[in-house]
Amino acid sequence: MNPKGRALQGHSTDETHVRAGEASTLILPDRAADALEIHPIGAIIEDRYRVVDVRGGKGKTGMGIVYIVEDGGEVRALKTFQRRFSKDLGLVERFIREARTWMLIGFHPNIARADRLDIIEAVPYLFMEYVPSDDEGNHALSDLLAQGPLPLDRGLDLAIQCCDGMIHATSAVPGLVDRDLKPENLLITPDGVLKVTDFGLVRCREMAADSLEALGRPDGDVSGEQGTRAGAVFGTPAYMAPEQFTEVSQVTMASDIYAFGCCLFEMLTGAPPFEGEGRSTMERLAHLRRLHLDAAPPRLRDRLPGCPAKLDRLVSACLVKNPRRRCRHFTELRKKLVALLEAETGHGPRVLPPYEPTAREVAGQMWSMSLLEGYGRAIRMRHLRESQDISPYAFHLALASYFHCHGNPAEERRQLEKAARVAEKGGGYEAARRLSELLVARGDLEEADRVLSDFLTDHPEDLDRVLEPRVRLLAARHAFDEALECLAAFRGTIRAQLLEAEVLRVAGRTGDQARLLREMLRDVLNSIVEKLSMLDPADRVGYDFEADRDRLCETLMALGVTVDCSMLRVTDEAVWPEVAGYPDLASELAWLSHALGELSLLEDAITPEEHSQFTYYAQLLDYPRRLKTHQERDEYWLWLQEPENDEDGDGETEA
Amino acid sequence: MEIRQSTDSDIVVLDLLGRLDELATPEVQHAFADLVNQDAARVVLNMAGVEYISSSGLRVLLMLFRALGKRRGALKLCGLTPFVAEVFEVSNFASVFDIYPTRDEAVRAFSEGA
Repeated sequence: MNPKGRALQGHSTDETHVRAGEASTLILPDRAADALEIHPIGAIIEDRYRVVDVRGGKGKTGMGIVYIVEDGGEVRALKTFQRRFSKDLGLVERFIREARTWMLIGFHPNIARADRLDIIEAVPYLFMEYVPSDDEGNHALSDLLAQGPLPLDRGLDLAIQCCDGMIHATSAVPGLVDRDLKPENLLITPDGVLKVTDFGLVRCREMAADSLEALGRPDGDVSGEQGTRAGAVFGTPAYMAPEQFTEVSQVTMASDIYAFGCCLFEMLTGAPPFEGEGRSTMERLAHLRRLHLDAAPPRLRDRLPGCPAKLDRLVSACLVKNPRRRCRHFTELRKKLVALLEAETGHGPRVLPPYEPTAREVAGQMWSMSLLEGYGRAIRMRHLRESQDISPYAFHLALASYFHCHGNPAEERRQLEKAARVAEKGGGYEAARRLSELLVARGDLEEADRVLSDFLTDHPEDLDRVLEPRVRLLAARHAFDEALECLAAFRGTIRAQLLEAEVLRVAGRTGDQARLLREMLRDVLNSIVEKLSMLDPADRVGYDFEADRDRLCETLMALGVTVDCSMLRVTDEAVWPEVAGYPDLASELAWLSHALGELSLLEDAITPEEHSQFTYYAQLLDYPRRLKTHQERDEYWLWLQEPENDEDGDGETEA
Repeated sequence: MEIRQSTDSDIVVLDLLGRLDELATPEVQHAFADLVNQDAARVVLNMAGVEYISSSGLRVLLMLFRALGKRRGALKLCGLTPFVAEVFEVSNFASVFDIYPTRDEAVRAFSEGA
């Protein structure tokens, strides 16, 4: 639930629109946990998008919602789903597949444009062009057909446009099968331009061949049955090809041709070829299934006497039961439809100018695919850890970690800002700390100052939560005394020593820095010796690599520390040196590496012998990576454990 | 989209000509897959003839970049036209790829070990 109260809970009664005032009162009392989360009309999504209409949310579409929003004077359609559905991995992956397909299709005047995706409060939103209704409130072919059949020339015009959209889509995404071509998914602008929309059930072999290596593999999965359950039936029965009911593996572009034939038949006659009869929905569905599978399709000429014979044959060719004997290509259909249109009207099909996207729109699609990959992985992680009901705040932090690990600081920053935005009142420490640290590291000191000032104004007692970025910001601004003052309350801790050393380095006080680091080195060594002396043979001490123990022993020996390391041994499970019961050893090894490394850089303050010794042993202990990895490991280890090769075929697009 | 392949010692140079859009991407993707299967390691893509690139085009460049990276190879781009350069800038790809003004400079960078 949005803590700022923008998103009210409620639900629509069907696929009809949700109206302002209805939304907040319709939570089912006995199913509060399932309460639908729909922004009502008038709500502002993410402080920016004002909801002017809502479509879907319940009923036939189940999880789908389309918000019509105003964004700076522009009207957009935002496709999304209710957050509670994000627990259904199958549905989420279908949404991801749809969004990726849309991005890959690119831009075409006969495809509803989707140019960007964003994650808002842990839910993905696909940003699409808004197709307005005409003066009579029609915005889809289904609206027009509700008033009766179309004149022949209008039907042919729209059918050709539909072919154009499908030709582009199947050329851009090889193997694409829409599986849900129907009048409801063919939008019509007030100017009469048809736009194919909704790739919610799309299948495409391109998804499997998502790397050049996979493309070359003879056993590469090109079945396209990615993410859909084997044997599951998808589609809208009135427009489904016979094979869609029975043999999912046989569903190809020919199935879309069959659906197209049904649409064309309905355009010209006012009704689809088959209509189910029965007292219940199930009976009607079963009847429809039998008709599509077994009944001879009606002839167009019987329902539309006087129609051109070639058109009658074309529709029949689309409705052939056997997909192998059916017309198989939209290009072939288009050619015949154009000839029919010319014969009927004396003019050719309408010529639409190509849509020329801006560089920002192209980049936006690419960036969206990267975001989709991160979202997909985050949602799968969450699925694995379903017992933890991760809040949108934690979800955006996790996404920020993902982009941190994948070297995308711009997106990391955006996700941290989103986390800060949805943070519960009195919380948000982690987002404030990480966001300000990122900003300081990138030199955006003004913005870092704003984030920290806002945080410290709200949480005046919580300097310790943002100590590192605060001190680093002050040091970057050369406010050294103020930076050291901040550390006064933490004096004596390694954390304060590390930060003080940083401040002294930036201030150029290398002598003081060296003194401090030597003190730190002494303290860390004493602590390590103490811990190792307390080891019991029963303790489990783990290393990722066997060589780590030797590195530690060699370093300690070189620094004049005599200690028995023999009880340190490799275990399978451990990812870092850990002493059961003494977890600080891992921190101290990281600090040891850091102190040695920092000292080795202070050539003026150490002897040449020390320089070579410290440099060698710091590198041996993996300076400067070890401390960073240690500090980040809890936050990021899930992402760092991700295999380099994405085997799930669902993502690879990291910028 | 026209793709011309030539070699300069062990460097493979691909000259791309036309729109690298959704429609051209499958063909380019197959050409790149062939290149990878032939174990090409050092590749220069001359984009001087590419006036438009789509997000699918960017994606296929990234796939080649990664495939070569896995084989310890490298990809260098050159001759970005204004629209393509702007897309690279906005999408942050300019920092991902090694980009040179001309074909000769990209080839020379390989020989000089850059």
